[in-house]
Amino acid sequence: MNVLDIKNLKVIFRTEEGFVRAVEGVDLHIGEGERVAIVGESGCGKSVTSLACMNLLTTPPAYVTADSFVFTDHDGHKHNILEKTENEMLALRAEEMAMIFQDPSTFLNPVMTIGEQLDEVFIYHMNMKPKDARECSLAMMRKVGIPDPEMRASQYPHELSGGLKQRILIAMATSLSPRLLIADEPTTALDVTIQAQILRLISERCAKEKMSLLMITHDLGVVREMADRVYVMYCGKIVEEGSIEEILKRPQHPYTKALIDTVPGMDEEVDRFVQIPHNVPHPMHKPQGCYFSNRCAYCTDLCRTKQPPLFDRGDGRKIRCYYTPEELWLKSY
Amino acid sequence: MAEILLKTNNLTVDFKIKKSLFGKPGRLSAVQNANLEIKRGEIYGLVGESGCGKTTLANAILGFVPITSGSFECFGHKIDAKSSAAEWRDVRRHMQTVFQDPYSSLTSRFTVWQIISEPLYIAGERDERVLRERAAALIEKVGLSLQDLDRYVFEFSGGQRQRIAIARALITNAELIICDEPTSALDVSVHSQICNLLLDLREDFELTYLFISHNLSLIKHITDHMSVMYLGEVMESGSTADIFKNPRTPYTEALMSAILEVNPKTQRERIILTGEARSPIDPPSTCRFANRCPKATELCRISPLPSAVEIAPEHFARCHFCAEK
Repeated sequence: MNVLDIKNLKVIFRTEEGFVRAVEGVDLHIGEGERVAIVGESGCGKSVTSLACMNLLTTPPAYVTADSFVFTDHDGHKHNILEKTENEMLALRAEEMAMIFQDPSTFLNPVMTIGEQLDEVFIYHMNMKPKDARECSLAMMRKVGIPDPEMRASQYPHELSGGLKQRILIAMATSLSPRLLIADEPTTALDVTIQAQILRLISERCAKEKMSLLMITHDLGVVREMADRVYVMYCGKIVEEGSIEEILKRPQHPYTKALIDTVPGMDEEVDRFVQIPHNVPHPMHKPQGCYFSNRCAYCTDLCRTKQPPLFDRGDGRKIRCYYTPEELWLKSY
Repeated sequence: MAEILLKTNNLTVDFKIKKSLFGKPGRLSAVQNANLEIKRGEIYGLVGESGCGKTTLANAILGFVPITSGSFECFGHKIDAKSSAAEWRDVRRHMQTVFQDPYSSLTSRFTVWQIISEPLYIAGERDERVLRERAAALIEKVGLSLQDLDRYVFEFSGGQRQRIAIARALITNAELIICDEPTSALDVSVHSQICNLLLDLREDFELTYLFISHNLSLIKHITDHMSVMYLGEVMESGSTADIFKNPRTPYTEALMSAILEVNPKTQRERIILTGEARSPIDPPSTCRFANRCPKATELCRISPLPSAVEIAPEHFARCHFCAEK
């Protein structure tokens, strides 16, 4: 049974210059306890998709539509996220679905102590007395590996380092063991040695609380570490879907392949880096046919005129490209 | 052996900070006794996590922050804390820099040719025709077109802006280009475009780069020699190939094991460090990494950090146990 099932999600923003189609028909599903990642560059719509999952996009400027958008909670009740009122969503968030953001300092209240902010989760959602809530908060802080929690609870966010703040956010998000945890670039603002700590912590928490994970990132290295199944997004569309092993070993879409090739392995010797020509198209001026056509080495007239659909190639692989890897390989000669 | 272009001798940068209104000022040790040797024509990498002092070291060489003690030699000049403005001018003429964030390092009110030629203007060239011609001669070298000269920066993407910043660094015919995280503000698919451009320009203009990055995989593939910094101290330096093959300090080892590889064939053992870097304010004279080091012993916590030992030709490390491995 799927925790989250989205069919044909579309998000349009109204801006002064016109309508921006940020997400164009995304199908996404996350199984129970499954770790799923969305990979893509900035502006590809991965963050907007995750915000739509939490119903955090305000209308206007964002207009969200979907054929179906079903979230199944702990008790097996099905919720249509798009029809929820804000109050109904407040009950779902934290208990059923929770989110960790990229920059932890912007999501902590600077005028409340860390302890007070953690207590709120238990006071509002579990109707606990402040004293009991603090006990729970301290226990949570120990679970996410914060040394000396009593001292930290009385401190303000500016007194904590980025890594500690991210641990606090993880503690908040996982304190009521939600069914789905969404992590939007959780380690991008952190150093590499801290990144390793935080990724391990997220995996541990997910395994222990049997949470499903939706990981949003631009870093394929992080994906390889954290996900079972991957969606690759480009310009608001999913271009490739499959298991992480398969995608890294045998990428089928030229964009995925190029993305993997631009990061040379540590054991390889390179004189020059593989580069993708040009830039990501402006969201208002996407190419007419395949959105990757202006940067693709294998582009044909067909690609330039007609949008390819998402082809099902079996084994859970879906690719938005007219050509199979064998055909692409032949074309390169 | 190639000529040494830049050599620092125990270069130290401290910042005084006030802890309280009447208290004694504290000492934030940003760079402590750094010794680097950059040879002509090479790419020298400086790696470390945020707050380790890599940018401050570059800024001290560029004269953006005052040197506390120590000195550096460059282009036949010796610069230390007491050097005059005239001496600085002589040295700075040969250096230029490319900053991390092309969204804030380019003036939004200037057109592209004005931005690119501004260093020449500062150097005394006032003839607009000459300035424009020089900018025009460079712009195609960095992969932009002549039509772009009269546009404003807001019309360009991050990668294109970084190309403009690179052109600006080249216009005074500087020999040493200091690149401070030139790709980290850019999209992944644009990274390699900028790296390849830097590599091409090195050939064309015979440049030397000091390349600052926290991205180890980039450092591995682009640099010839490198230094690893931790909390202001240079922990290890040597040829890039050597250090990656055979890291001799526990910090370098941990840093390398934290690299997340994309290639599914490789599986490396991961060393996950506990805790976080200590505060750089009034640091002890012992090893600054000792509180996180998986191999630390009582010796590391008591005795001062040893000075650099040459454990292999041109491979220096600072650790009590680096010789044992």
